[in-house]
Amino acid sequence: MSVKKFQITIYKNGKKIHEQNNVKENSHFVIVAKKLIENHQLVKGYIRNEKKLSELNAKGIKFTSPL
Amino acid sequence: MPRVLNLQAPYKIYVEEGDEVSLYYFITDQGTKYSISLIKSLEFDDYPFKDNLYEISFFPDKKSHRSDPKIKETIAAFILAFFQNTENILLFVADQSDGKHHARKRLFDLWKNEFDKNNDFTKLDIIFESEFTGTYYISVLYRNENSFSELIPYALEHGLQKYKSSK
Repeated sequence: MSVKKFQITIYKNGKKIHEQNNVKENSHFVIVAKKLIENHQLVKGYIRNEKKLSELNAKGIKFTSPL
Repeated sequence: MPRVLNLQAPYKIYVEEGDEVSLYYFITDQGTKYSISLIKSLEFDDYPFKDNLYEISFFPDKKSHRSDPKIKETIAAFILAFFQNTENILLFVADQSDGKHHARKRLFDLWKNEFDKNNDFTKLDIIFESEFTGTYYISVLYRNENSFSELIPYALEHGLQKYKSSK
């Protein structure tokens, strides 16, 4: 079975502060980044009436209005 | 009647508050509805800033073919209001489903530069590349005076450090 590899680069105010190639799929950061991307896609689906709120709730997504 | 945010923005921003869902929206002169959502992220539960961390998304309900500077000014006013709480942290994922994520990332960069003339904010940009799904851009924005301004970039790298030490 092939292992998926990722590359992550972090910039702070335009200046590169971190770069790593060949990051494995099970690393903590990859898991977090993929979750953020998934959240974004689920929210988009909900706003476009393509996803149900229950699907978002099941993923622990909570809409909030701090303003 | 939805609540209206008291902001100095070209378009009125309304708050649609339900039992489980709160969304913000504004309607442009062309009749396009822009929804803005803020969701709580559970991904940094171990960190002390977790209660102030929000993922923002904004989506128009239809494509607009005309440039409208009021849109960016309205979203900028919303974001600046969000940062009245100086502890808040904003996460932004550039939508890549239509292949325009590079343009969205550039737009977000331009907005930050245009509306942060005094360099009051720090922006972290994460380029996340997968050999299977392509490139994603994730930006993190927070005020320099945020109590956790030193910890936030460390927190982003923490997973990588753990990964390194476990190899």
